[in-house]
Amino acid sequence: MDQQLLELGQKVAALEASSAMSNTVNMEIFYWWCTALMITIHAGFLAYEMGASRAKNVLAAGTKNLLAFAFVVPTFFFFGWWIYNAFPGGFTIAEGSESALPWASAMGPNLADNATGVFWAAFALFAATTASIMSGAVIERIRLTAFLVLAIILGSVVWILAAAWGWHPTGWLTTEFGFHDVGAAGCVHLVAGAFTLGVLINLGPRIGKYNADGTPNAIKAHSVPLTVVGLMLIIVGFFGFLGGCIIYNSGAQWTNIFGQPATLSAFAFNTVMAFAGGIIGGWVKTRDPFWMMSCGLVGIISAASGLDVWYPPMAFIIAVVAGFVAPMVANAIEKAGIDDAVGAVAVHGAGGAMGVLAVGLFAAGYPNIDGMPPVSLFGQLVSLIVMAALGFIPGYAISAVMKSAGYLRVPHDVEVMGLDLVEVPIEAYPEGMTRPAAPIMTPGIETGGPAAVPAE
Amino acid sequence: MNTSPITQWEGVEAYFTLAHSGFGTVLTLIVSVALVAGAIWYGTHHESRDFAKFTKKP
Repeated sequence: MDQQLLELGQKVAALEASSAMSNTVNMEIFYWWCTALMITIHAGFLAYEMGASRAKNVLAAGTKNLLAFAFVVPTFFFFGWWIYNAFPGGFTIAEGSESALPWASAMGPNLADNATGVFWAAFALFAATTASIMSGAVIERIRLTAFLVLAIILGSVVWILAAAWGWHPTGWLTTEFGFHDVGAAGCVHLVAGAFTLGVLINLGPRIGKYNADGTPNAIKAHSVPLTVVGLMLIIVGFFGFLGGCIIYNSGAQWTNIFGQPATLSAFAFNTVMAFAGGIIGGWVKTRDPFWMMSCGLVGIISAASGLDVWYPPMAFIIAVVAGFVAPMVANAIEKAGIDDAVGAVAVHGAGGAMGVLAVGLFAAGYPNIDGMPPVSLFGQLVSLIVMAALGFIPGYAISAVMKSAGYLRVPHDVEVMGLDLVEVPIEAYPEGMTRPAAPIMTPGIETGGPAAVPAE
Repeated sequence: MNTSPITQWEGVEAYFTLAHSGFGTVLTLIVSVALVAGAIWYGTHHESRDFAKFTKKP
C-alpha cells in the first residue's frame, strides 16, 4: 500500500511538472505568435506610407519605415526594456530592474526564464509601432537620419517611459490615480501622436501644401489602393498587438496588465465591434475609403483602453463617434498649418486621447486590485495630460534643436526633385511611371517656398 | 575561439555565448551600440554628400 501511494505521489508530481511546463510553453507560444502578427502592422505601415507618398518619394518613404524598425529594435534591447522595468515609480529606479539591463542573464537564452524573451520581443514590436506612427506623418521632407534619431527617442525612450508609468502593474499613474488603459491607447497611440505633433510643428509642411493665403492644397497619394490595403494589414496586426496586451497566467484566468481579471473573449468582442464602428463613423463623415480604414483603426484605438470591460455595443458607439470625429480633427490640424501627411496625429493622438477619456466617462468606479484607486474620470484626465505632455515636449524640443542645427529637413531642391532620386539607388516604377521632377522644377517655381508649388 | 559558457546541460540556466564572461558580454554590447551609432553617422555623411550633389549652388 505504501509503495502504491509513493508511486501515485511520484506520478502526480510528474504530471504537475509536465502540466506546468506545458503551460509555460503555451505562454511562450502565445506571445511568439502575437509578436509575429505584430510584424503585419509594419507591413501595413510600409504599404500605407509608400502609397501615401508621391511617386518621386515612394522608395525613400519605404526605406525610412524599414529603418525605423531596424534601429528601434536594437536600441530597445540596449535601454528600452530597462526603462520599462526601472521607472514605474516616476524617475526613481525600481529595485530589481537590473535584471532588465542588456548584460543581465535574463536578456538572452536562459533555461530558467521562458518569459523575458517573448515579452521583450512583444514590447520591442510595440516600440517599433510607435516609431512607425510618426513615420507616415513626416514623409517627403524629413531627413532620414534625423528621423531615425527621433524614432529611437520615441520608440526606445519616450513611449516606454509612458508605459512604465501607466501600462505596468505598479505604474504610478495606476497606483496613484487608478489609470486604466489595457490596450495601450495612451502610452502607444496618444504618446506617439503627441510626439509627432511636436515634430511636425518644427518640420513644417511639404512644399506646395499651402498657398500664400494659408489655404491648404491636397497633395494626393500616388496609390490609394496601397494605403487602404496597408491599413487593413495594420488592423490584422492589431490582433497580435492587443493579444500582447493581456497576461497569460499559467493555469489561471487571464489578467490585464494591471492584474485585474480579464478574458481574451472580451478583447475579441470589443476589438471587432470597434473596428466595425470606426469604419461606419468614417464612412458617414467622409465616404472616403482611405478615411474609412483610418477610422476603423481609430475605432479600435478609441475602445482600446477599456477592451476588457466594454459592453460590445458600447465599444461600437465609442468607435462610431471617434471615427466621425477623427477626420474633423485632421481637418483642424491641416487648417492650423500643420502638414500631417497621413493623419497620424488625428488617428493615433486624438484616437488615443478619446480612448483614455472614454474609460473615465463610461467605466468609472471599476475596481482595481491591491488597494489601488478605482477607475475615475479625474484619474483618466490626469493620465491623459501626463501622457500628452510626455509625448509632445520631447518631440517638440528635440526637433527644434535639430531644426536650428539645419539637420531636420532635406534641402529645398532635393525635396522638389524627390527623395528617391537623391537617396535611393533604384527606381520604384522604372517602366510605367516617371518621377515628376521635371514639371516641378520649371522656372519661377523652383525657388519658391511652401506656397509656390501647386499640389499635384 | 571557445565561447561556450557551458560544458554540460545539468543545472544550466543562462547559456548564451559569452554568458560566463562579463567582459565578453559587455564588449559585444559595446560593439553593437557602436554599429548602431556608426550606421547613423555613416547615413548622415552619405546624405550630406548626396544633398550637396543635388543642391544648386547659390
